[in-house]
Amino acid sequence: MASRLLSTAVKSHVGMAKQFVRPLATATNSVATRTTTLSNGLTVATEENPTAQTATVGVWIDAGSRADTAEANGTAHFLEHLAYKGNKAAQIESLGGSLDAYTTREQNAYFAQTFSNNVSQTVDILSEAVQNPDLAGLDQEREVILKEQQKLANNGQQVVFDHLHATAFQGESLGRPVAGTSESIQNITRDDLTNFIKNNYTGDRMVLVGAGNINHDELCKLAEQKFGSLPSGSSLSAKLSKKPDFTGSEIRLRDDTLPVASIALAVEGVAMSSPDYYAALVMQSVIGSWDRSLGGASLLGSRLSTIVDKHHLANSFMSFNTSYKDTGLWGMFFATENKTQIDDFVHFTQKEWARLSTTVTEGEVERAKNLVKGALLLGLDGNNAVAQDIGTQILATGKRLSAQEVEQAVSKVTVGDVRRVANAQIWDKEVAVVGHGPVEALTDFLRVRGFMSYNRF
Amino acid sequence: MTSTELYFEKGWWSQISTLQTLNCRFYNIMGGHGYMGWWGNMGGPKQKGITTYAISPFQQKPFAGVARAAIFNTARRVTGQIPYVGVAFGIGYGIYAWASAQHEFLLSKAGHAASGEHH
Repeated sequence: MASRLLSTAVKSHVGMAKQFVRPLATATNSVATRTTTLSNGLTVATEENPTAQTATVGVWIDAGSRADTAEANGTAHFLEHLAYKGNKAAQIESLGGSLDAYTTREQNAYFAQTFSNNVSQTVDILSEAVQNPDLAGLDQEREVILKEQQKLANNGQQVVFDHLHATAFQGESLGRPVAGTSESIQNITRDDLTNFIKNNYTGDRMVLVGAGNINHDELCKLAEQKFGSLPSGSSLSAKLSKKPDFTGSEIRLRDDTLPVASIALAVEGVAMSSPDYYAALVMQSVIGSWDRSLGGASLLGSRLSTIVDKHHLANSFMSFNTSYKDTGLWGMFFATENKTQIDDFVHFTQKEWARLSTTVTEGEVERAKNLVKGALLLGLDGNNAVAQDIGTQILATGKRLSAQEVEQAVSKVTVGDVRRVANAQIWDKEVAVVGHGPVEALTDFLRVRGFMSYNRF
Repeated sequence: MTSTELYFEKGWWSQISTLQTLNCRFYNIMGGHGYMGWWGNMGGPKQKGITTYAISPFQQKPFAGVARAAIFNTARRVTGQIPYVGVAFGIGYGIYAWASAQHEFLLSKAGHAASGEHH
């Protein structure tokens, strides 16, 4: 088999390769992220890149939709919309920069790109946005958010992932949608927003990130000035929240009027701070992603892609590994027009999942490791991406791994690790399934659950 | 044989399958005649707006409440049937008891005496 050939090829050439390694002419300092913690708990982290012309400065806050209350679901996202109201956009534009923000289930991020000599004004604008947002335009913004939600209802992937979280983490705050439901958005009051800021926007849950042509010490001084008045917060409340329960369950949103069915299957994944995080990423990469419009669609390394391409089982599929602070989702998302063979796709996916626990080969794992390294490192292709990486990592794990450390962590993953983690997360474990569209042929839930393990081994 | 003769000879189903073979040879054989699709596209009314939920059996308690129900629910169901079973049983038993007593009476000395003199 191709993957066995590849594993023997990889093994035999390692010895030869060592002779031909050319030592680097100049040793470059690995670019480390400098971190400082202020007295109120605020962490300042910078990746200095003196050769860059611009800089990204941002605040990453450990308060996403997970920190909302159930009745006021959507508060974090609402705040993100209101943060830049007033003349902040005009201020940053006059400096020649741009403001951006996003909210996920676990994080709220406000960041801006500017020239490196405008960093202090930018930090000023950001501190105003985070500490004193203008909450007056509440009702207008409500309409905007509701419209945004309506548009997203047509996006199959968005709908499926929202429902996947809702069913897998049913009853938990992690299961609630980021933007909230239409009812909860209507119920959000000004008090909800101020309470959210009071409870969650505390120094110990924030990171001030700088990437690009920024000096770390300068940024620390600015942080002291502008963010020094942040309350330090009782970090106990965040730490005591227990790990969300994963419930094996299913939701079918059948809609025969749609041409494309969007379906996702997921098992409980690993936390971002888990030692198995990189193994889970490699595992996901072994199955891989595919789209029928790819040039070499039938010739990718993933076995599943060959089968799917040959029998036209899907329009595209994507393996995903979403990791949160204490849990995660690992699985497969696919979109298909082949209404009669959805069960075939699910069957072959589960067969590949079972192979991960049993007979996955070294060649596949090596290919997957290289894909993961590429995705992680090549993705850091600008100040914004670097800043996001710093913010996310520090909030989730407390530290940020440099590029070399990431490469090492991925290289250390072995076939044994992949099989061990697959046995722990996939083999005979609960699975959450969501189907949206013409899903008549989607395999019955009990059969999906039953096929998570074989009796052959 | 003409197609009409075929119709009467073998019945309407075979005419359709002949048409099917002739016209629909290149298509999915089961999707040819238009009454039915196949699993996943069966061709019933287009469903929309119905959401179904399921939860894994391993995350449920299959015998939840069975001990409580064995006593209380059974008692409730039994007592609910008393007007029907009880009344019918009462009537039936009453008839039996009377008939039995009447039979004993007729077989006794007093019964023989009451039914008329005979030598």
